[in-house]
Amino acid sequence: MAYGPTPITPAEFLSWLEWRLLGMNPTSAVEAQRLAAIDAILLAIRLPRLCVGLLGGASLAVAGVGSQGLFRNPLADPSLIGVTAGAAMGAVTAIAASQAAFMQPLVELMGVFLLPGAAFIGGAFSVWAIYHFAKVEGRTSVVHLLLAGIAINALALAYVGLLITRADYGQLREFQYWTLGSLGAVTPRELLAILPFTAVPLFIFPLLARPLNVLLLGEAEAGHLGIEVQRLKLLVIVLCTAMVGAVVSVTGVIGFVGLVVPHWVRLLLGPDHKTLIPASALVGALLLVSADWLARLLASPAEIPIGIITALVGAPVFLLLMRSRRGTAWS
Amino acid sequence: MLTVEQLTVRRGTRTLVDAVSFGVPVGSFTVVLGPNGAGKSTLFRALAGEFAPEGGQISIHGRALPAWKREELAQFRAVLPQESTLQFPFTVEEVVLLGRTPFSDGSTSAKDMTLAHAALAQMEMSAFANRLYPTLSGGEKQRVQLARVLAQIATPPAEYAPILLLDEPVASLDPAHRFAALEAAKAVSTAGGIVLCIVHDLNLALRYADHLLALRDGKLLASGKVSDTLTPALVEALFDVQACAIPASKDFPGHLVLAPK
Repeated sequence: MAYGPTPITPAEFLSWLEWRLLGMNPTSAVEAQRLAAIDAILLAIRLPRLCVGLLGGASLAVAGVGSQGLFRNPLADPSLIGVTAGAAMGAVTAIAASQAAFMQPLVELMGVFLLPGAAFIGGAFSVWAIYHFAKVEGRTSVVHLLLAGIAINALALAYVGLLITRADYGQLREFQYWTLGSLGAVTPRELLAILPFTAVPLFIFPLLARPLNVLLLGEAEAGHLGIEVQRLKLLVIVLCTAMVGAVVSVTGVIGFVGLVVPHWVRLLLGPDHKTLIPASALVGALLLVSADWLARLLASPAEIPIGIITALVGAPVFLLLMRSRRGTAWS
Repeated sequence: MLTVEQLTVRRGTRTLVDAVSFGVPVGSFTVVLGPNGAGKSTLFRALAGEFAPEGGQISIHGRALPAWKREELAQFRAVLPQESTLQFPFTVEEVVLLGRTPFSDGSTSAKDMTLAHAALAQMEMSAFANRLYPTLSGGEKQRVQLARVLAQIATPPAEYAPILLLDEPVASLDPAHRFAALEAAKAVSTAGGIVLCIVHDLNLALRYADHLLALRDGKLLASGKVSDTLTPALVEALFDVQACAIPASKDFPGHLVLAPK
């Protein structure tokens, strides 16, 4: 909260808290003016950014837990079920199309929700397509789901690449923001837009801990233990799509969190979803907020794309943790 | 009671299980015998309810299989597939406790823990309780999975006899543990349960099973009491091998010796 282009000292932050929460009035006109400025920065920029960081990190990590459980594969990443690639595809389409004259009424109507909306639709669409292709004899085959995910990811990447070769300079910056991720464009409106799509799944997921544990034994085995497997899989897909699509729509593609946070937690605490889900949410939230702080600190007053930070910080720690006791079990 | 009437399973133009009918009474141990590709596993998966067959009906304790709720079935019927693919580093104890899921309200009770450890002891895996499942050998994994299904059906509802469906449960086990595994299954049937088990070892079938179902090319070639039906003639017709029955002696039960044709 304190760090940024306008530094705010801990004392100032405390007096802001006293003023806001306890109703203590500023002692001088100069201090009142300073407090009003701090108030604007904190409420309009830093608080929403912090909240999106916490919510986004928790959502990406829990969506990672969900897709890894769904595929019964510790290497499965939310991007495998197509949300990330589809969302990026939707977003770059919106950026490119918003130049056209006939699109202007829609651009005005949607306002800041144009990109998030397009990203969400793109993510949902590609998940629907992958899920559709993965249906074999009325059941979802994990192998087909993964292969369809690979194909659609390749298609989406090619599409984004094609648009980049045709982009002007300003658009290129926006594309970069989408492919590497940033919390820089977050305002209270974006926070409000993603709140239901992230908070509701985050509350539902812990309720699925037991069925997800059983699902790790195998789909047939889970069925024989009384789990309604098809319903569980559909629910996990919908929740993961909602979370990742919403986060990607306001922050762009932030890789690594969904893949590695569940790994870390599993390596330390084991694969039981009862602890894995809440612990991953917590670690994911802290990781993304810390990464965002580093992204702003390292190249101040400019910002490094946060996706670079999450990869740089996460990969070495992941390699080290792989050597722990739980880690030796991977084959 | 497990009843199968005119069960038919097709995949494309091939008929994998062809109008098979049989009944398995409570308190019996039934082996399913047959050469590779005879339709044993397909029959087994249809009995487990993993897909809807193209024709015929399966009923369990007098009720058609599709009419059962999964949660209800899971309280008295356990299924062990041929191979299990668990890649996540659960401990052996945690894997066996997953078998208690149908009875759990979310937390592990002391009773579940006792039953899980009793099942591990039956499979001689007690010393492995805290080992990570993916670090075990193939045979050890199979013994853990057997313990899981034994723990699952340890406390069936009073009105339903437990049912254990085992698809080649002992293929990866050494001789001593083959005996241990089938002794445990036999204990389920002698206590009034139903055991249906695919095996390739005819002498294990002779030793433990009461009834047999002999499948070839999707058709039921023979069924009946093991003591009457598991003869050299049936084995020769079923597997295209030469078979010879060695009568029981002081130290060994009667057994079959096979030779290539």
